[in-house]
Amino acid sequence: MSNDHYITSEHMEMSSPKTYFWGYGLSLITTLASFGLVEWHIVSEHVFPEHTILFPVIVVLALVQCIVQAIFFLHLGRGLGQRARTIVFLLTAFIVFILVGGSLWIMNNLNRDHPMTTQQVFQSEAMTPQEMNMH
Amino acid sequence: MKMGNEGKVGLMKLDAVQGVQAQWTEPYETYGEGHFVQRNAEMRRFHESDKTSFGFWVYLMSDCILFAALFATYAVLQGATFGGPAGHDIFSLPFVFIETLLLLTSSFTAGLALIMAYRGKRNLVLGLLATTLILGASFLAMAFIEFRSLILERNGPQTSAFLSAFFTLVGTHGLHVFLGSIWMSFLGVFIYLRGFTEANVRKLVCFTIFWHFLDVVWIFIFTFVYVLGML
Repeated sequence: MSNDHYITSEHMEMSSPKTYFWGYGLSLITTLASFGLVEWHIVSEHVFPEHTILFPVIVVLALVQCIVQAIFFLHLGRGLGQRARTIVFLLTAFIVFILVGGSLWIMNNLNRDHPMTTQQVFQSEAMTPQEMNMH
Repeated sequence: MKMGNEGKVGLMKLDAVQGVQAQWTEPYETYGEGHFVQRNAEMRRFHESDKTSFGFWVYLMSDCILFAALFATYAVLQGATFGGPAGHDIFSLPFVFIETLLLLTSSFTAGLALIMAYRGKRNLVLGLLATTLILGASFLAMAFIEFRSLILERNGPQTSAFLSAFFTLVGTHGLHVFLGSIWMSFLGVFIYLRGFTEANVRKLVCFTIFWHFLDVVWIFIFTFVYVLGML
């Protein structure tokens, strides 16, 4: 059987440095945007951009950069050789979502039912941070 | 090529369907480098679907879950500063920005090294790997400086739950980068000595996936630990 069957334009695309330049450029832009916005926020003494807008924007920028690198650097996609890896990746993303989201959900509920700071917990056990550090 | 043979046969069956489609696309000769490109694309095709790199990918995804657990721990303990400093007291954005650029650029050069390996350009690959190594080592040096100054200022991992979680998360990532750097050094020596053998190319494929993965983890570290920690 001839190997020619393996060669499609998709594979040609993958063995060119073009995808890496795209990935690098887009990652640089999202990184700059993320740092720039927060720097702006600090310089303007936490006034602009507003905290409620800034937070989701930064999170979205991180997700965008993750997807950019997954496609352009890690070559995840729907192609024949990529499909299995993409499925594992998506499954992992789902597990990570449950793990991190679930932990935060549970711990926030605990904090709401028992609004006690760590400081208070240690005070109730008659220990100060300084004593802790001595041990 | 023994290891991948079964996988290849399995793929051929699938490719019988794809093959029909492939005949409609442009023939490989029109791509300029002709036979060479065809052979390299075939090699790349083989490696991207072979068992080793897939198995390695599954390992990386389990590593991803390890990092997720550390991220969850960090997120929960972030506010537990216990009288010690909070994130915005100890982080420096420009410092982390340079760290980020170093790691991102090293991920880029590692990717280029793989591309150049498929084109058989040994010196270029060695140069790119050396660049990647220098960038990775600079990143590690910066991480080391940060950890050292924190510990010297008595803000070590024993100070608060926040700092314990911080050192564990960033330290685990740093450990991965460190081990990756050692791997990369050996890989460079192997490529220098033996050229692009089947085993060396396979290792290089796994290594670049590993290195890209570390940069993806760093995206989340710089975003959720440093950038959002400054708010």
